[in-house]
Amino acid sequence: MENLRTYQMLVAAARRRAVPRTAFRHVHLAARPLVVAGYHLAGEPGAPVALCYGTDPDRMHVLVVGEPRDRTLRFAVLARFAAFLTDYLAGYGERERLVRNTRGGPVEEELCVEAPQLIVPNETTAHWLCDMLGRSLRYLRPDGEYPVDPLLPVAGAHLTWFATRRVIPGSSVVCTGTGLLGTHWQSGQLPTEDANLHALLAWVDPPDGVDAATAALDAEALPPAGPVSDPRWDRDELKPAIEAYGRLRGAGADEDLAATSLRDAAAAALRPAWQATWRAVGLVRALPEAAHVPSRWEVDRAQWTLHLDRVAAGTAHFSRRLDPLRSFRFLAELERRTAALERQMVLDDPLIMAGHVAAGDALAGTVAARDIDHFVINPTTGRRRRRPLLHITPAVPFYRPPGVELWLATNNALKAQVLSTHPDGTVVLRVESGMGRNAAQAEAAVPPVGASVVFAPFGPSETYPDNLPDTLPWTHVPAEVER
Amino acid sequence: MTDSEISEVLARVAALQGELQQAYEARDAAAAERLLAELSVAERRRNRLLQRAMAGDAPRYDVTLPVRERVAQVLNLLGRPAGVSLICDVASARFGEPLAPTRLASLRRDEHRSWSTAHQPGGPQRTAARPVYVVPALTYDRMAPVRGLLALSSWPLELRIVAPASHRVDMLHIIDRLAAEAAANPRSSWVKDVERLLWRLARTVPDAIERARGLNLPLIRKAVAAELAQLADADAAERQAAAERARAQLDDEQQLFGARFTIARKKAAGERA
Amino acid sequence: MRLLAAQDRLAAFRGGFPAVPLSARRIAGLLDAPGCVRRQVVDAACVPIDDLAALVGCPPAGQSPFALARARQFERLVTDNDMGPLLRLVRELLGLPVTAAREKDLSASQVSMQFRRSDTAFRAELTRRYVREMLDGDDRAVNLLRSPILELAIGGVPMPVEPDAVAYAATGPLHPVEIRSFPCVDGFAEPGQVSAAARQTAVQVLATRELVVRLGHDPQRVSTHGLLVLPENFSLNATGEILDVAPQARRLRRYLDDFPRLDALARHVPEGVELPHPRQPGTGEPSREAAAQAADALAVLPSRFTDGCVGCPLFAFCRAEANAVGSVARLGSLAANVCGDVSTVEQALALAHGERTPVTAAESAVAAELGRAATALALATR
Repeated sequence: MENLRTYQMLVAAARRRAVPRTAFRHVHLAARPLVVAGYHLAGEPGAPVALCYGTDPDRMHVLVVGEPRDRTLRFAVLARFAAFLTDYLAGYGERERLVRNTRGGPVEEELCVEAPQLIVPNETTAHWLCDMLGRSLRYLRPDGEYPVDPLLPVAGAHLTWFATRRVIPGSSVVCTGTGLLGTHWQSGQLPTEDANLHALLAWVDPPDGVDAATAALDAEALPPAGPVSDPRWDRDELKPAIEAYGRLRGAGADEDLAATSLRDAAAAALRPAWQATWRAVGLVRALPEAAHVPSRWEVDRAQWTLHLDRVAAGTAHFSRRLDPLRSFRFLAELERRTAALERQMVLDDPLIMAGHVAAGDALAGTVAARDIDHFVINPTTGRRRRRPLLHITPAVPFYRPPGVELWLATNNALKAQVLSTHPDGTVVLRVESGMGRNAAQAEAAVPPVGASVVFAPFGPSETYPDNLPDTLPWTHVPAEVER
Repeated sequence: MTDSEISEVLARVAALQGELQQAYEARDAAAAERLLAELSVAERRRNRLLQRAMAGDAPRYDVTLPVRERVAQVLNLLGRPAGVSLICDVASARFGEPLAPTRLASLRRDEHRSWSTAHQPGGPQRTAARPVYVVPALTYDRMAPVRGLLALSSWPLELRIVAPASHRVDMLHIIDRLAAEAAANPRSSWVKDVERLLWRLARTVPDAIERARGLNLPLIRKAVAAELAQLADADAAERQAAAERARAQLDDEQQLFGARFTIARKKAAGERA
Repeated sequence: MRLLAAQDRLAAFRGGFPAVPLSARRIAGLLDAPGCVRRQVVDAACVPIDDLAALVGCPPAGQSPFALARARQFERLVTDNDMGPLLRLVRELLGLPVTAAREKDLSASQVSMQFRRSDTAFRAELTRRYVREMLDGDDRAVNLLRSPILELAIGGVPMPVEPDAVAYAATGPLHPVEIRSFPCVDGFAEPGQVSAAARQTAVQVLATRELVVRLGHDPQRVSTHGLLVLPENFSLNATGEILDVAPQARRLRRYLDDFPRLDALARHVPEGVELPHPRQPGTGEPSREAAAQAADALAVLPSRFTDGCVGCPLFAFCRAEANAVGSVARLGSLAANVCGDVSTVEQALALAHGERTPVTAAESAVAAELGRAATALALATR
């Protein structure tokens, strides 16, 4: 995989423009996503300074906390954001009935027609907004010693749900501008530089007549996309604006008026991040959708439905930290889903498959010869089994040894085994299954001479029953801490 | 930062000043205090935006490039061995900073020394090797360094060797590269300067410039291609033959920096044999 | 070249810049840029790297006034009231029976107020004195030492190291204590920031061990079990976690052992190559000539551009160089590893596309590997 990635980086650097990594879009993009960008006070993720958000690229809402260290003010302002958020989410309650085919027969389910989608500029904003703010809000109480607006813990519960979903491979309920671009394009800069949304966007979509490297350098001069602001901006604009707020409040001005300077400064600083995020969405939306995207989004919708049920029943419960057994299960689940996602993306997208061809895992070539009527005799039973042979002239040399199993990329049911490789490089495959029951079916299923084919080590998806142990394997028992 | 942002902030300052005057006339101390606070923030913002706007298009932080990298940058663009004064002209026209030929005086010696330090046998210095070195072009007969003609070590030996027709062939390639670069970036700040340079260089190419009509980049490239069609193959063959000879007779260092001691070595080899 | 001559050469290279003690952060940063002679020389010559970076046009790092204020506020809260919160954590988490705080602040400002002098050598001597008392088990010895000046042997020569405000809780073994202000939420702190703190603590541990050895004691008396004090959740209450810096200390020790000897390093600095004076006499502003001289002096030192360079103050400078020459390393360690000795983008692509015949083994390998990628991609985009 490194070969293709490296090659694409080199080409991007030489062409001075990002190159596509995919032919399709592998993320679901909602018709009406909620885009949020924001800053918190340096060193204090619990103290938001500004939030810019909305579902319409031409209408950016701005909320600021005139004195970010004032908790009462903070929760009052966040309550306004919570109101907008819950209002947005309320639009995703409508359900439909679906019939799903399972092992035990057809089952009727209720599924939300649509699920919400949160899009933020980058990974650190996603962590701050969903994980940290969610955590800081969900245990607040509308009653008791320090009562807050009842919408705050509700918003906290929702944000925390977003936090749990966003780490699941294949989930699209939370997207980042950098993730959207990075998944679909390869830049010509360091991977760490790609974490800067403005720089990455400059590579993917540089201004007319400017090369990407220069555009990326200019982009670095833009205000940061958040959630941490530029220290010089803090010194030159944020600090005076907060002081102005304090003075104006002291002089009797109301909240909104006193916060005008801060609102102007924050809007000016975050507007580039807001616009960049929408631009990233637009660029990715223009790509054709990959085949497996709707089924993955259906899983997101199912989880959203479950979450709504739990919230309604008051049983939304989030543990503070996973105990070792649960984290072991969680890790195993993550690994399984990562592999499943990779498989789906490979089968959906020839550009991603190319990475495996380049790495030598997958065989791409043309059929030089085909023998439909090749049979193998089972030594014990004596029965004949049809096992068609294929001679493939590889377009890229293929070195995997005999016995390796491959599946036809365009028809995942057709499985073949590497039989041998000739000195001239021709690979001999023996079809093991999926060829049908007779010559006519084999004729149709097995690629004919002259066809361009790709055989890859990705078979049909398997269901993994949850036979994970209830007690931890010894490898996962935490070591005693020595004093 | 756009013009509209600047107009907005200028308008805001003016509006606040107006309101401040009203508050003063009405002897409204509270309002005046409030407006003073707002005004100071707005003025600070106005000052900053204006300063940035006046500073021009240059990216905020302009890193100073060392001389050797500036030369490598130009050679990367040109793709062929080039003379010191041409390199300086391109550095100035395309990359904006004037470069005096005197600053390149010790470059060849410094690069050779740097290479030697990094390639000392038995040393752990291998990691100190640079990705690319500025090296002299070499004569096709004796592989001697050509005075004032520079190349990049990453280029194949064939391109770093100059045969009788190579100077002309290389100049044609360079003109083509510059024309392509200008054509690909029509709106950049440097395009006029590069075109001025092209005007001078392309004058020597038949049919490249039509006096009355000014600079036509596709026409230049076409004219260059026509002349190259006549010269390129023979030149390439000579360079290739020279390169093969050189690879057989010279070590890595000599293939990069020239074979000043060829005669002595041959003699030594002869004596050993 | 003898060591003394090497030191002279490095001091000459430093030119008009003052010599500054290295911070723990800077030394920890060496781990991010392994094998970079440029960084090694600049550090061995004790050049103030932030000022040098600013002179050649790198964007300044800077810290937000709010982050600074919060850090100071938290530190004050932890160490005020006879260091109640800190001692509680030291007792609970390190298990040390400390009941009273005897603190000594060796920062330049405090020392100059008490002694009327605050030069590095003097503070180093004070540090030695107090650490000796701690090791001797003196009842009156301080058990918390702030902003000491230690020494770390780099390239065979002891360099002064000034850790950030740091402390040792001591009765018996010396345990490092770090106070930071990034939050620990539900017992979980940002791993990246924790590991950065751990690396700087490791620098401190190694430096203290060298001092302890010089005072005639067993270096193991400086423990790698440290305490990291952090704000709890979103408040300013202090919570702590044990910081085991043994792995970082081992890694740093290995790196320092492999650090080139100063005479080997000085060989990369030719005679007469010097950094300029950072300020013009008269205007006090840096001049273009100074910037150019600094850039050319740096350029002489070979650099090694890798993914880890992002944290170095000179990043923008070395990146501009890599861009200008079109090096593969500019694209990161992945690309550099795949391409090996084929060091420019142009070369690698020419080999991949069959436009250039490979001459060396490295070129053949690259031509084969990248050629596969080029073919596979061309097939897929047909």
